[in-house]
Amino acid sequence: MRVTDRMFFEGAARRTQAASGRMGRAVQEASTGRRLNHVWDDAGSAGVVTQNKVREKQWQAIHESAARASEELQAVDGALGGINGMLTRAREIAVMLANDTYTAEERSIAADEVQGLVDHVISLSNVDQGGRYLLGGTVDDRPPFGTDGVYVGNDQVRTVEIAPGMRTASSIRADRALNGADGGQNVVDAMRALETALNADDRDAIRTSIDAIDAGIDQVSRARAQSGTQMLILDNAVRAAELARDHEVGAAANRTDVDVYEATSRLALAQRALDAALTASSRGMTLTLLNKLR
Amino acid sequence: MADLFSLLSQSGASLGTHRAASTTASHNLQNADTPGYSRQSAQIGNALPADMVGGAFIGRGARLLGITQARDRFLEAQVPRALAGSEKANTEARALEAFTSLDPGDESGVTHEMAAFFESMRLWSQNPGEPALRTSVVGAAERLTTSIRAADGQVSNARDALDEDIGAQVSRVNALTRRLAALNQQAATAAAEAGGPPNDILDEQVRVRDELAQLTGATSVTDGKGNLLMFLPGGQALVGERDAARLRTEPDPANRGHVGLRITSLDGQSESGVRAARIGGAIRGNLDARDGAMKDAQDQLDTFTFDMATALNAAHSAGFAMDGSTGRDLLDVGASAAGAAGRVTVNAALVADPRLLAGSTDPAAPSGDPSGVFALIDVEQAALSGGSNPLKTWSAIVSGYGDATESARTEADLADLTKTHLEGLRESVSGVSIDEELINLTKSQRAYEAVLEVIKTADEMLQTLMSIAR
Repeated sequence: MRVTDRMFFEGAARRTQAASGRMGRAVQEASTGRRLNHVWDDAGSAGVVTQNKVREKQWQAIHESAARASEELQAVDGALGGINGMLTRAREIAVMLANDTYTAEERSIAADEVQGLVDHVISLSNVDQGGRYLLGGTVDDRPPFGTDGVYVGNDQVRTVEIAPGMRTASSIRADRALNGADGGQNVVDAMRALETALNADDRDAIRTSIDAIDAGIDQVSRARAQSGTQMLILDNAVRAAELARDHEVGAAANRTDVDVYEATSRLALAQRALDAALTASSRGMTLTLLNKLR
Repeated sequence: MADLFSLLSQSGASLGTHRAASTTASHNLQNADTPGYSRQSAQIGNALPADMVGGAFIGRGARLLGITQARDRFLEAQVPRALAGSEKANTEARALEAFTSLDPGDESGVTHEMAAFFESMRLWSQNPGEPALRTSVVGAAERLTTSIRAADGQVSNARDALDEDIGAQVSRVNALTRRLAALNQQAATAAAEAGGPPNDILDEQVRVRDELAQLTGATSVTDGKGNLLMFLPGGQALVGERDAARLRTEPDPANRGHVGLRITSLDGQSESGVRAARIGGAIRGNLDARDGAMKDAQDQLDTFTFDMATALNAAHSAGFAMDGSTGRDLLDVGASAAGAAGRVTVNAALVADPRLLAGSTDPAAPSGDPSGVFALIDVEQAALSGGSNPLKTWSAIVSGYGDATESARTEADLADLTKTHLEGLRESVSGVSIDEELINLTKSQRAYEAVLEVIKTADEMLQTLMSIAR
């Protein structure tokens, strides 16, 4: 086959251009650390990476939401613990002042303390976080308990997402735990009954109030256990979401990023290939009769 | 007759022959790098008939039989097809690679903004009454709709740019067809006057033919009179003996106003449409990119936008805002999918007052009840009209476009290999080798010097003869 000068030069240009192109791609990969810059670099991976990126943000949001819900439940647990403490103190007062050894005046002073405990229970029942009331069901924009202890929240439970499409409760029903709904004990009423009995110096009524206070303590304890379980679920969900998010980040990186050592090696190879192409072309250009006849 | 005067006149003719051969070699050297130039060869033969002297034949020197081009007919038929295929594939690949809005790394692209939108709703669900979270959702929705409109805008602009490209290509085609028709006439006239092929005009015909093939995929036929006739892949005549067809572009309302092609016949008497399947080359590459993968991406983007907006609106309008109002759409997208991606926006009322975002299905507890927000989030998993959820639908659009572009690039690389191979073969037959021509030049020079020696010898012999006669 005849080899003309034009064939030689065009071939040299083509090969040098191809080597330069490979060099350019190697430089881009090594300097950016990415192999998937456009959808056509790897169409299948581009589609999968799209899903990875969206799911990464899904899990990040779930992580944050579940963490915030868990913090709210911690605040609720703290409030319920405080309420339990008030009820326990009220029981102590009832047991002590039911005894015949105390005078009417002493019982009257104790009634004042119980009134203070009631006010404190109402205050704890209106626990909020950043202006959001936590014990009113889904009514969270106003205090669920009035100053008279009357409940104005609803019987709903707030929910939070712990996995795409999966939701779990993130609040307790304060109407059951504190307000006596569904046949339970209204804890404020139980403490007010004790206050009334103390003011009336009625030892029998004082003794009667102990049962109601005990029922209130049980209810609040159960509510605390429930919130503890919910917190556990949410804390697990937070950890799971973190792992899932990191998995999506890793999966995307596997498809989009280059291995640094491979990229560096490819760059060195491309440099050498370009150098060889240029050297071969320049040497070939001197092998012509034109040079020999000069 | 073999006398000294005949010897001198024969030598003169031979000098002319060798001068023509060296001129031909020189012409080849001067055009060694001229694109489309085919090397020429001086065909030298014996001057016939020979003289009969005393029972023997004595030759009458050399004469120029003709100057021929080195062209391989088979290759000349294959190369334009390869040029057309390569140009079509490369044009299509380049056009598709201009649209980058679907790239996964684009931080302002639809992928990123769709993820951010659903993320903002998830965060909102944890505290539906929180004003900052509501504002964040509206902001994320605005960024999502902006990114969708931007993607639609980019693909629209890319398709419009291809229309302009096609227009410029059509103008060039018309100029080339007129040029080739004129060359046909020149070639016929020159051949008739000279009695031999006008090689340089033939070279110019081939250059124009190759460029026309690259632009239109047209094939050629050479008739017995030296005319190069060209035909579009659909069979329509593009260039005749003396006439050229004329292409023009015309907006097609059925294709969003993008241009279609029409051709006026050689005799100028009729005009007809040219469908994409009946043309090739770069024009076909642009048409395939514009009305293939790009159109598919734009249509799919419209359908995706319309379906997702409709689903979000259904969920949102069933919910209650902070003021207890209901029945409000989240996004404004119009009544049909066509053009949805170019006009989707967030409901202006929500932008003005994020409290109107409907996150609850309980009008009595709009602040704490997240059920409306969950209904919006559930759209992420709901099946759109294509049967897949928004994420999978979008992912399919992204990988589908990437696949089409990757395929176009692969086809271009393969077509380039074929083109390079055939061009190499043609260059091997028709190209100029400087070394060969230098040798030919030297050969002609030596032959010329040898004939000069013959003339010198004949002259000395004549002088000797005439000195005897004195």
